[in-house]
Amino acid sequence: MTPSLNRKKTVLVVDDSPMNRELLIDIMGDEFNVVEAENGEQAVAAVLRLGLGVSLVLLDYVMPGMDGLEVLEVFQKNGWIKDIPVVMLSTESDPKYIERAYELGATDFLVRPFDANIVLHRARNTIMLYSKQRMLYGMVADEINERERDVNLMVAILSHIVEFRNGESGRHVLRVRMLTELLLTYLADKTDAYNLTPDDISLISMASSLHDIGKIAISEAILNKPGRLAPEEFEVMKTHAAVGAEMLENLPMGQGERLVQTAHDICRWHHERWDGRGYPDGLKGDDIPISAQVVALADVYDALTSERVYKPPYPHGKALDMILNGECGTFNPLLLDCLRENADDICSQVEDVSLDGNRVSDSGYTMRYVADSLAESMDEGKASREFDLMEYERMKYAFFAEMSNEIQFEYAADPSMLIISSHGTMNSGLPDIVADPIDDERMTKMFRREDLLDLDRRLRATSPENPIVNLEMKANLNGKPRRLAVVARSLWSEEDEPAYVGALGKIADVHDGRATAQSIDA
Amino acid sequence: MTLDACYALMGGNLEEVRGRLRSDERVAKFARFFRSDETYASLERSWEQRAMAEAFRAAHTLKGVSRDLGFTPLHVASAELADVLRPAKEGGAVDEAAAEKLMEDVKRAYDKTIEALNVLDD
Repeated sequence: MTPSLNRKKTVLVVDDSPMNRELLIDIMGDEFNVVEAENGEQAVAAVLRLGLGVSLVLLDYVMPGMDGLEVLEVFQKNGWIKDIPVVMLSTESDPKYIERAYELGATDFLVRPFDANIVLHRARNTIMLYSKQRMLYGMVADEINERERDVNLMVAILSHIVEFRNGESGRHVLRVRMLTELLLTYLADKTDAYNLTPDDISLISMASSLHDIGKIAISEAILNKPGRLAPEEFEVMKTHAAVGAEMLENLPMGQGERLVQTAHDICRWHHERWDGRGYPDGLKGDDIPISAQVVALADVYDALTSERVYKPPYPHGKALDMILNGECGTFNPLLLDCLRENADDICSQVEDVSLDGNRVSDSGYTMRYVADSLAESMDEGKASREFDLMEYERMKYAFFAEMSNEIQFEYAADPSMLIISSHGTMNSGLPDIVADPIDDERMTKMFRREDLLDLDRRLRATSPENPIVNLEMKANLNGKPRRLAVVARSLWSEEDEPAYVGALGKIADVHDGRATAQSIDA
Repeated sequence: MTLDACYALMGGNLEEVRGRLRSDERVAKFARFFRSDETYASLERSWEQRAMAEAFRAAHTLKGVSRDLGFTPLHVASAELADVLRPAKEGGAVDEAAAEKLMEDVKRAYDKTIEALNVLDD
């Protein structure tokens, strides 16, 4: 259990009138932890600081600076409104304003004059509704994950049985599955030619586990024969592809299912070759379904890197060379590109599967896990426990930040707002929140405006892949010239074309030597 | 002076406030609190400087607070003033003559309210 400082839910009261805030605190203070904000800017800063630690926002409309509707807009734009309910405090009865607030995602209105009981009940109900929704969401997600885990387990057991006759451990199937998933992911990044959705990738990867089920029809004498197979024995061995497909065709149920169809294609065609010289049908190029093409490549790679009765395991690099040189069949050039370009990644991921190979066989553990997590969700909601954990992490983070000799900041680009989350031990004299920091006098008194513009320009010039900016600037700290090192990271929206939304970073005083600067480079 | 006498003196509606705020202690606490609230001072100051948007916000806040505490005459006067000043919120023009007259009403109501609150027992 995470240590929690305060079991009370936190309510953020946003109102420019101290009387109004006091009245709400007086009404709610016994039951809730009330955090105050005097204006819209402080409200946004409080949510940036406390995150989902805020269970409810009570928001006034008429305020100097950013008003209630503008705060709602920020909530909507940042996606907070989905997780944090906002109840508007209102003396306004203008229908246009009420309509707009609902449009922006306000949950409800508390119309003045305040009635103590209504305020309390509405706060309780709104918080309960949201936390129940979060809890249900978590439970459904957990359930789906568990179901998927069980299905995977069944498939793993089935393929283990097939391999068991083969004298193998079942790890081959796991690794082929992992390789299939990796290759398909790289392929989908590289080209739209195969219309691979995440759903397709997961389905094909799962079906890949069944690629060798036809081998249960092959006699153990041939299957486990040490040394080379005679030509007629090899012909028998080759039938496993068509036999596996037939087994699925004759399945009394599930004929329309995509999983069965995909598994069928993989079974039948995972020994076809790109040049048309494979078996059983001699299909060529993209006549071979992409599922079977990928599994064929994964199968060959894993066969090369695994020990067999007739050969030692080849190292990753050697296996790669053999495949790319065409010594082990011919493959779709696009797939070979994927293999080549991601060779290191593939090597390390497959190693991980090998080490963790027994994880799917421990069904007792899986069942216990399902039971425990369900009991937890029913009990008091795992979701709320995660929030406790977040609160704890925040507390820990805030403590270390305060103890450091750095200023830590967050910057939101729209509306342009700088939030100093920790002043550390550096006594900068800056306020916690600065709107439009580049044009703010308190900022330009301490920093040179061109340095601020330079930092802003550099952050905007970064990309989601390379978001870090390092620079030094001169500053005037309490009347003394100081050299400061800034390291910042840009933040980007999650849209298809990510937009710059702000940054976070820290500023350290490096005037007295490089030691501090190096510690922030790490 | 008791809460009842104080509200009677200013023409407020104590019963309604008791029903909403649930305890006499809370009503008395915020009634006393109002004596040092800055909203009216801010209204006067911004009106004198003809800072209309700010004056609107102050009138609006005064209207809300006086409504919460059942200071009926002050609530009625400040609500009317807020309505007249409202265009300033979006940068529009204000009927200054009407506002001037309503400012006087608000001042009268405010003074009377404070006078009553000042004799409330501490």
